[in-house]
Amino acid sequence: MRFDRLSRRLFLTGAGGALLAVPLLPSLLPRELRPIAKAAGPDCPKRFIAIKTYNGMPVLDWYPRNPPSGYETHSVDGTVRLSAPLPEATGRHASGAEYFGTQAPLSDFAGRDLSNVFSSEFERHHDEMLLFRGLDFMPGLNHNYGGYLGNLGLNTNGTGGPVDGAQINATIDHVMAASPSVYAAPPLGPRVLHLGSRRNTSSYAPTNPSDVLAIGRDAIQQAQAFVNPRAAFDAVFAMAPSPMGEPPGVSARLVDRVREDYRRAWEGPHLSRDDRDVLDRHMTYLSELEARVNRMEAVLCDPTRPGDLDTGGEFSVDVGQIEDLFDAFVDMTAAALACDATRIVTLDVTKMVVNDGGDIFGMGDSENADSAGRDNWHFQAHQWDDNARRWLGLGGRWVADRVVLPLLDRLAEASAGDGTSVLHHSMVMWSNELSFNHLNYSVPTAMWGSAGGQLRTGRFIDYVDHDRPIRFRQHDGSVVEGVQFNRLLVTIMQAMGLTPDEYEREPGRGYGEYRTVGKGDGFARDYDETTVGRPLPDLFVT
Amino acid sequence: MGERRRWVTGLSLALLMGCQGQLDDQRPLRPRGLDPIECDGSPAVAAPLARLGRHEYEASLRALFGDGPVDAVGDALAGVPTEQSETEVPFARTDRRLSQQHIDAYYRTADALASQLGADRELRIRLAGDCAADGVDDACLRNFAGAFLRRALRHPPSDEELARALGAADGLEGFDRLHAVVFVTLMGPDFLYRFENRGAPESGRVIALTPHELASRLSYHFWGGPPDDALLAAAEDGSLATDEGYAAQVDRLLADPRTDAMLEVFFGEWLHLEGGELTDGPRLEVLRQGLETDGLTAEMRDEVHQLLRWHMERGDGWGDVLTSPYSFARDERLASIYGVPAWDGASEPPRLPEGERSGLITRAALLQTSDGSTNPFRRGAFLRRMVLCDRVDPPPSDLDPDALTPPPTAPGTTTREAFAAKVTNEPCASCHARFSPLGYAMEAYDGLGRYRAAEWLVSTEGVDHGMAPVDTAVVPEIEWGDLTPAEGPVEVSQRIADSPKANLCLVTQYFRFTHRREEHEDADLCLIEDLATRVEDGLSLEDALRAVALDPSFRLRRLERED
Repeated sequence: MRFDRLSRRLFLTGAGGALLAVPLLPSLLPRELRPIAKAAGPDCPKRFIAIKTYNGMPVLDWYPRNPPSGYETHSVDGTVRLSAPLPEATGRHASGAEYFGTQAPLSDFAGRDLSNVFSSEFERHHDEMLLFRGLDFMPGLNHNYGGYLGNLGLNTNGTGGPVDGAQINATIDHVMAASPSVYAAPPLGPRVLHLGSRRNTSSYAPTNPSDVLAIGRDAIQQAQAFVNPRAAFDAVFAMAPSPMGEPPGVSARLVDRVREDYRRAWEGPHLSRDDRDVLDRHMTYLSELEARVNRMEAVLCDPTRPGDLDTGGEFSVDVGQIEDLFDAFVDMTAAALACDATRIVTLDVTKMVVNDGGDIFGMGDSENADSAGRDNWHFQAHQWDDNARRWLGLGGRWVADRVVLPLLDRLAEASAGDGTSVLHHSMVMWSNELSFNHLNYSVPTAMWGSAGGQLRTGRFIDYVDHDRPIRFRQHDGSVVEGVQFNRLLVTIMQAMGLTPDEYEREPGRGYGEYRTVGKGDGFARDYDETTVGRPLPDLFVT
Repeated sequence: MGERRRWVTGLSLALLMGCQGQLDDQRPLRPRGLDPIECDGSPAVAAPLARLGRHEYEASLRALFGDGPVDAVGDALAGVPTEQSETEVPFARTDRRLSQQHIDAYYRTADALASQLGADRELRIRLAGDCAADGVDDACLRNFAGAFLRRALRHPPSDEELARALGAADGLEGFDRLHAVVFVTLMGPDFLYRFENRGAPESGRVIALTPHELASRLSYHFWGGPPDDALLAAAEDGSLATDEGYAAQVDRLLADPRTDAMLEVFFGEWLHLEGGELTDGPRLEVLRQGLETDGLTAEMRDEVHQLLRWHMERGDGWGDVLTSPYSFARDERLASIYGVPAWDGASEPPRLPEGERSGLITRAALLQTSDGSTNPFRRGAFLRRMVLCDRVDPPPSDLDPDALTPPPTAPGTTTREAFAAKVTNEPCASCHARFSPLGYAMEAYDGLGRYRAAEWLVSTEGVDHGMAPVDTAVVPEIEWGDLTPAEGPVEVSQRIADSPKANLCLVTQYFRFTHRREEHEDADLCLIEDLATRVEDGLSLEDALRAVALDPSFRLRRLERED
């Protein structure tokens, strides 16, 4: 069944109206009271959106190769070479030598496609954009199952395939969701909205919602995404009276009564500790529900409910369905954020569309991985012949044009109520499962939004230490030291208002596995562990 | 399914080139008459608290309200996450994740259903009686609550339980009182969870399930839904507590069509029958030669279920399934793939062409791929791992990624030759020797499951590279160390059927499905080996499934780590 496409204009109208109704925005207060309001609590809320595309992304399609005037290219791969060093050092190698990243203003790339993936259409968001090169995973992952959000301990399976000796932990979306800096009170919708073209995501929640920093396989569970936009909408706006018709006829008193039943059950005979843990978690979730039921009437928001969308299961690579699904997810994400129903969204893109000179087909990261078809994204990422590399690049372009750009447009058009946009107060990160074939060096990553002006955006930053020897090259990428991906995670969490004590298990160690466990001598491993707890160099506005 | 994809991929692509560590032989059945295992009939491992799975939850609601009201809350119900296996155990019911998403969806569903009681007069009358047609007085509410709780909690409510439910309606008026009772019940622990903690101590740290707990365990096991009236009655009149009464109920449940549906889930998940649809692509476009493929994979899956059902109904054993000479294809296209007439579903099924195909593992549903290609590593690993339950590890992570690139199609080179050439060096060779031969034998079938003596070499881009003769002669080594050669898939099928491993694997997989967990390496050995031995001795497939429920351990629960 195809869904009823949303009217974009209608949606934006609804979203804008909703925001005007959000109380206590400092910008709506008399000028003399704004500092007080700002000091009293969060002003414009910060949002974080994580978009992940699966399998390999060709590095040469992601990064600029067409040098603007005054730029040269790297001889090794033909990508644009940046020459202006960052003022802040990345760290020191084992030799003691400091090393620095390089940067260029994205305005230097105006009037042209930034790269094969990022068309010139992205220029309208260059001011809010950060294009990163040289973000490396430290452990020897052969896949990235949550690495881009900080669970750097798993290789392949959902909760299987741990990297020997590597720390397994929840992902930062859930760490941030538990922070009062992000949610001073439970939101209207879920704390993290998981959307995706398949159910199992790259996000990992703590098994015990009260212990977000617990580690180990049993301490986390793979989050599940909404694969139907209508189901997602209903989950986000269930407590809002208007989108769902009549509000639920349940008072918080009844939810509290239910929780009391669980407490009685918890006290029952012959229950193991594990059984009681399950009931404890259930009661924690009921408390969250109760808090949301209590604030049911406090929000005015009237986005349009999408139609039911059956995407044909997780195996279908029907082009029309893929397009419809991600169109709806873009609208859904924008609505949830603009209405402040949730502040954290993950979007797993496991399907994409390839337009190869008019030959249009879908690719999916699916069970079909056993076959050698062009629909098989994972297979093609391994294949990496001329066809496969071209298809992956074209698929990346589709994701950029069909998913990322429309989302940025929506968020840029939605007013934050202080004269800026929701995008300005957000961080929209797009990262990838892998960089070049099965390696996690220079994982293609970009971000838009400055979390309310905290980040110095509008730049292409290359953290690769091009003075280091290339350990080896593979397909279109080089194994050479850049900077720990962990530092981007620290940057994001601090920009969202978290303090290190909220995410660090060990002072100064940032988040996630930072050691190069699982990497042999043949890999690039000379990073500065003493800096891993810091934000990325030269990113915060000082 | 993405996760299943991951490990299957890890197995196929990866198994392309090598394995990490060693293949561990599965524990063999113990030699007859030697070293017998003393089974005391008690469960070896504590059963975790079971929450209703997505489908169990829906089935339970349908049993309470009927289809119409539940269909009407489909949007709310759609928010309940569907289980997916996160591990190499293929069964979704092993997924015990609990998240805010669950609780939110339970809330919306419970509220929506409870609200219908206020809005739908006919529904009120059906559930609460004529007394609720236009209003609800205290007696009406109490009678409704008693009956509703009995079904929802799957046991007669205690006075305290009834009082708590009615207490939810305190201070409310009209139909809001019905709403409150229904809401707190559907959100409550005794509806969403199956507690098995009220029984009497049996011995040590083992307790016997109460008759109602046992009724629930039985019905959710066989039907994926709550006990029906007869089962509840058997729990209440005491007959379920007797061996005879219990066995009679097991027989009744087994004979019910709902058990068929649950067995389809079991075999479907075990054999990876879902997913893997045929997709448009240049290779398949050439290979299918005009064959209409819309809906074909569904027919392939149905044929496997028909095969299993047909043999079960005749009291056949697992070996008969593994060597079945019949086609159960009711679809003309699938029948043409097999080279037989379509089966009418009633008469004796057509026999498969002699020497071409035999048994479960040669069915198109287990052979087809999305684009018509074949991957002998994947096929071999699947048989070794899923049908024989031998362990096959994923490859080392530090392989040269080029090693994982499947070989291209080339003129004059069969798929077998191309794949075999990829794994001639160590550490690939010794590992692949353990499973790839099984896949080479299955090269007798193309990616649509058609038998072939010669392979039509068609590239991913659909380029025709001509024909090449297929070589299906292998040393399957079903039992480690047995180097007897086999000529092709029919002989391999027979060898697998003759192997104790196949029976042990069936029992192991059913154990995992039944108990919703992987078997404990030592503690569960007794039950599994005992049953596998009986299967080897000729126990029918249906009796094997029955035996799991008849085992004394099914009626007990072990307590561990009690606080």
